Amino acid sequence: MGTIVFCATSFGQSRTVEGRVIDESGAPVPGSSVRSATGNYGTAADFNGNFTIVVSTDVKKLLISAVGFLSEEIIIPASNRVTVVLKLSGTEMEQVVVTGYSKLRRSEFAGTSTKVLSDKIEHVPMGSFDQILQGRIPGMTVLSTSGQPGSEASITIRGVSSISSSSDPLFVIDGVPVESGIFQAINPNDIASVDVLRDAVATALYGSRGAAGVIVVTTKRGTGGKAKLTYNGQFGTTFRPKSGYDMMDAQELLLAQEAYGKMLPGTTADQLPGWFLSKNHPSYATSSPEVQARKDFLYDSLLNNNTNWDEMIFRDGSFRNHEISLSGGSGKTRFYSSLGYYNEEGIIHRSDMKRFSFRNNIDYNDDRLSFALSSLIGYTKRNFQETDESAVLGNPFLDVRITPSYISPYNPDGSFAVGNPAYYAAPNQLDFMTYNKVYNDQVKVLLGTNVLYNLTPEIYAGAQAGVDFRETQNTVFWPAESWYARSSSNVRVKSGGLSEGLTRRLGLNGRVFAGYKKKFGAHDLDLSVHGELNKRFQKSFGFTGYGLDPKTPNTPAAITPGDASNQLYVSTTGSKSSNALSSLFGIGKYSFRDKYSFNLSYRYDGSSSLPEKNRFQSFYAIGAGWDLLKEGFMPKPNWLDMLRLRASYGESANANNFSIGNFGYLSTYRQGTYSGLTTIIPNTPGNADANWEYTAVSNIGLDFALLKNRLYGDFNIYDKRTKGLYVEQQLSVIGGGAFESIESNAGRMRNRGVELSLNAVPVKTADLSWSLYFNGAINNNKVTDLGGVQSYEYGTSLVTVGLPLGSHWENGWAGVDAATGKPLYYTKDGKITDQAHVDDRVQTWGTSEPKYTGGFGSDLRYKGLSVSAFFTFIAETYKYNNLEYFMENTGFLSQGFNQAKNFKFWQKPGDQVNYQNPAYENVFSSKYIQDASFLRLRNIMVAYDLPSSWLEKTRVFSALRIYVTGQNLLCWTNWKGYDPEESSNYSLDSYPSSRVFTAGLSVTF
Amino acid sequence: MKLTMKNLFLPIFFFSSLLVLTSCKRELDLYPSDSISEEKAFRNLDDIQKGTNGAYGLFSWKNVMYLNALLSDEVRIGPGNAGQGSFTFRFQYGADATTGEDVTSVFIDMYTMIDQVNRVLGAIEKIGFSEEEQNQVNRIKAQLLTLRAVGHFEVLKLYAKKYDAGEPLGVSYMLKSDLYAQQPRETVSRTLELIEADFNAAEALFNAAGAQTFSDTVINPVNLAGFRARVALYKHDWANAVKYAGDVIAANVKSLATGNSFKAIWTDAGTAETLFRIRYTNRPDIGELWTTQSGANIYFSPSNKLLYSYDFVNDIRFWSYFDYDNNGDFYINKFFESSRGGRVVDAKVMRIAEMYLIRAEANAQIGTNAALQLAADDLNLLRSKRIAGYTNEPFAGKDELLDAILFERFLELPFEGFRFDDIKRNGLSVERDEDDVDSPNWRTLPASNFRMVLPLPLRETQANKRTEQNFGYIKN
Repeated sequence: MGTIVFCATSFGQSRTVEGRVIDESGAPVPGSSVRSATGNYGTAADFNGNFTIVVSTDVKKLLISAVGFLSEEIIIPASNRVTVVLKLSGTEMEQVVVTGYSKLRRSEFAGTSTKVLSDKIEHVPMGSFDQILQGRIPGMTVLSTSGQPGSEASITIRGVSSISSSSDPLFVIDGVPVESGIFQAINPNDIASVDVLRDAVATALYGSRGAAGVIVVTTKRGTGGKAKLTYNGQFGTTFRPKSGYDMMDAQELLLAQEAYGKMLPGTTADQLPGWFLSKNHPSYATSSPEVQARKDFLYDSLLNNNTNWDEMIFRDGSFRNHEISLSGGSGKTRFYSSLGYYNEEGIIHRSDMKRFSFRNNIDYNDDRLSFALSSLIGYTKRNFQETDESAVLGNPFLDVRITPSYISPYNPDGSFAVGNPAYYAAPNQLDFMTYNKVYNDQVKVLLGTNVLYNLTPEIYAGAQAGVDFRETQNTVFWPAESWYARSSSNVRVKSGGLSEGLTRRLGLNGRVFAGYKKKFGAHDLDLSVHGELNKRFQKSFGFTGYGLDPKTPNTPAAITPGDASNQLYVSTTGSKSSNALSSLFGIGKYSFRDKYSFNLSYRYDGSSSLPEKNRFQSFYAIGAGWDLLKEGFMPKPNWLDMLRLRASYGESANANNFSIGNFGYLSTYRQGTYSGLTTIIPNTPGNADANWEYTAVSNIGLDFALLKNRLYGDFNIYDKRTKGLYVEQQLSVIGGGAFESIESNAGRMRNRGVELSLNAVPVKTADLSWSLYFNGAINNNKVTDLGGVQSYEYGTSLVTVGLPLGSHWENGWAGVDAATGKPLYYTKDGKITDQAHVDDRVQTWGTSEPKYTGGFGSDLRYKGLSVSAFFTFIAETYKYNNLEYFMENTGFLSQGFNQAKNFKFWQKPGDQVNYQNPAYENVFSSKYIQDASFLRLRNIMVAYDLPSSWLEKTRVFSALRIYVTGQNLLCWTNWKGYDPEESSNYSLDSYPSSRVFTAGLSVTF
Repeated sequence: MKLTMKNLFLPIFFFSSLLVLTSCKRELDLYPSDSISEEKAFRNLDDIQKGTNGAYGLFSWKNVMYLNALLSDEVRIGPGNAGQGSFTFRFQYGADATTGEDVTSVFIDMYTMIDQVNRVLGAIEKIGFSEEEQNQVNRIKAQLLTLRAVGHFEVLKLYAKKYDAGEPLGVSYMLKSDLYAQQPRETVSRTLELIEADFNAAEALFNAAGAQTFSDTVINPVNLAGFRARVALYKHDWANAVKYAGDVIAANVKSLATGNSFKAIWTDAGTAETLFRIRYTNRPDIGELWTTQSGANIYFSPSNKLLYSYDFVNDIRFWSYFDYDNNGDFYINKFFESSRGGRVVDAKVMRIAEMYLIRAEANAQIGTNAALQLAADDLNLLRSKRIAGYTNEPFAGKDELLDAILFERFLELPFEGFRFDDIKRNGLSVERDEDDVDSPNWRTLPASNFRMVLPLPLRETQANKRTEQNFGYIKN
């Protein structure tokens, strides 16, 4: 056993306590933390659950805790030998809820939060930890915006709560609020737990920032005791999901073009090779034999090309992850240090992410002072497909589908068969991916320090400081030999170019606090006051230079200086901005025998982004918990172990997601030109009444455990109302001048829903354990007021009072008239018409905001072997399938694009088809609105831990685990695009989530 | 030790908390760095000049030209027209953004410019200028006031009924910038009073500032008089129309041009007759108004009615204003060819020829023998400059002379932004030739038709509860 270093000489005599930590089934609980109740002595149990700790003779009690178990406090017996039996923390009631400002036992917490522990996060092969949370938290929708390695997810907690701003939750890592959406530098394997705070008691702590929910991340801390070195290595492959559209091969497309050409003689259809070169074309018969032979030859060569563009553009990428972590400590100090290297290749060429992350967490505790330092430095480099979220020809995910299979990727000389007509999209893309580079380098630094000093047992004070620093350098490079350069008519673009953009973001956070805590009798009270300041600075600049020297192309040094003759002037851009939030707040907690508990918070926030008259606002929340079974008058049936009722109400706002920007309240000007002269003209109207969007949440919850804690969970019902939503208020032309509208706080929205989380442990013995878990939520979103108007157009959708946000607005598709092939639509009144008139658009097609979300899974362990599977689902979400508009559309067939195999358009009277006569234009209609519900096998893992009896013999290893994982292996959905997870109302052929298969090895020395 | 720590720590802690919190209030006083806050935008004469440049930049004459042509008998649908301007040309416009995009444009353009003017005028009041700067400040103020008056006048012409001193519906007159303004419409006579008040103030400021050299790219005493002549003519103040037009002519900064110097006006090679221009340095806004830059698509052709009105052999205007392409289709050459290339030409807002026509018209209206003679002289002078071998024509009385002057305006000023207004203010109907229209439905627009008055944009009547839509158009 390890040596215990202690420094308790001033406390006199010491004694050595030996012991073993086991669970109720008798199995050892390795890694359990063993700490003294007073003084500061600590160690960790070894792989067999054994520990030895040297403590001062003053120490009477030991605290033993382990993840997933109830903590135990034991009195040290005279024998100095103990066996501690830890109970499974089935009810999770002894879990600690980390709110970022305080830590509370769940039994004294009246809010709603869910904790995800590291075992569900580790070894999931995804670069951004937010993606890993999909389906883990009831009421939290996590959608992958893009499958590019390292991309962030789109996260919505309890429904969207803003129209024009984002509904991103606030992220707090080790007490420091961090920029949301950019997590590529954070190693998910460093995370110990994630607490997702959803109701007012939890989020009002964050006052003006908490309305969209708060995600509190706690990273791993040192376990104390002898340093443990762990190596983890993981290798795998990423591969693409299936597309719902099988594309025509060369022959099918040529025949489709012929059929199309026959229907529309004398039009541009005559230029389609399938028709133009066909033997059935009227001109063929009258052509000379030489011309006929030439046409036949061309036709055959097109047929022979039959390129599979999927194979050309997609690939199977490799996945590698290596990590070394060291955890330990001596005496009062503990540390955790980890070094990680992550390398994921995407499923398409030129998309990958490399990450180097280095985390160091240090904790110091004595009987008065505790100090924690958390630090991360991360470097990432990502190669991108930068146009993956738009329906344009630069999007490779669109290109692979629409490029005709009869085009060859290469010219006879081996170069890419690039070309100008749009149907050369895929070869152009291949050229683009080969020659051009689009990547970013990012350095991220996260620093957090926390000091807590207990002046007396009752009075404490402390301070916290945090830094969230990021510098991202975006590079776009294209050499003169690239098709991108060659096809441009711009003299500067033609000469090859390099564009560099640097963005620096610095977030500073400081807080001081003091509090009073006291236990007297059955009462437990904790009150604290805090002062906090958050500042954020953002600065960016960039340049684009041209005329790259081909000898040293991808460097700023290759740029040719611009002059009047070469016109290669370098262009520059830049911006900077900042905001600040200052707050004074109080938090209170009172509980009585854990039977009644009350949580209170009051916060006074000031934001630099608001006009002075609205700058400071107060927020409060109140919550109460009542443990019914602790009530004497309550009958306590045998099968029921715990029943706790919670209720809370409070208000918060969305300061992190201001749609009006940092200075939207100010009227500003900018410079322009008129006739070569400088002008000063209005830039922003400035809403002098700008305010926050306020969200009030009422929540009633029930925590329960039954059947000896074998079945437990919680249920919540909430009503979340947002007022003062930013909506576009039309301005009079006479008054507004250059401004048509102004964003003003006039709207209201409501989200109502229920959440259920259920866990079952049917079997739990020393050798065999089996658990099942489920969580699900139903959310109903509704816009309740838009400041006087019934609806207004917002982007491509219509926001309407009484309907959920994101409700589609489209003409109803009534099929194809079998007699004429005309497309038919429904009018507003349900009649059938052949005109899609804008006045007949209705909003009965559902919304993209999902109604049902959740996840479920099961963990099974037999001795060292464990198997787990985890599924996620989303149901009742409707999205516009823009890809289908391209895939099954005569308009695009006529432009020479490839089409889906099942595209059978109307050709003659009597055809019963769903695709119209090509003589009629395809327009957007409800036909393209599709159900994007899905059920996904999110993650599956099989692991084997080598028996400790074997490992002991090696005298080298203390733990060794081998495992295999599969990510996104299966997906059941009616959605026909690549991925039902696209986060917007429209599908824009985003980079789909990869399927990943990995194998790994984890060794602890 | 316990006590000392406690004693020390608490005061230090609360003191530092206090420090943090008081400084925090200051921490919130942040200002934008990438755009200019209101206080910083206008701080000195130079800024004021830049703001004024901005007002000129927003003075959009383009749509005045476009509407006066499309709503009148100056153009017909061109062979390359793919629907451009069809709602307007066919008199099918309403207040909505789809059918009314063209006809509401001048309203939006002018009030946007007026808002800029009011912002700068407001800023001037807050700045302390030095003695030496005062003359320049006065000149700038005079320019801004003139622009404000002219902006309102252009709105009045299109969005109110034909002039009638008793007409209740004039236009809203903005005297200061107010984002949330709910400004009602003034009566016509009140609108004109306010216009004259701005002109008077401008004139006084120009006088106070003393002499200045003429430039046709800024407002100055000469073209101010020109604008006053227009307003006087509009409100049947014939004496003042004669006076102000006469002042402009007497100022002798520009005179009627002939030959190449007349042709050069339209390609921006010369400025022989221009009294006020809105400049375009690199955008073909004006050059592309009727025809695409390449010339491939003619959106609007000159009407046959117009083409056949000229003596195309002797009238220099014909081959200055028109030409035909390879297909033999006539196109509008006025504002098309550019000496600067790329169809980049300036909008000619005011020319000396118009002043002669205003003076002639006002004199004809006065109708005394002496005045009729003066009117005939002005008209004959203009014609003699345009038509080779022209001999002075006698006119039998006031009505014949007025008809001749209106016809001459048709020939002299097409596409310059006058024709629809000339028809309207004379109480006439728009009458197109049969071969200038593809349907009899839009051959005429009777003087009594409600579309003689253009609609306020729908978004104006929706957002401004105190305004009033013109008869016949939807309000919300």
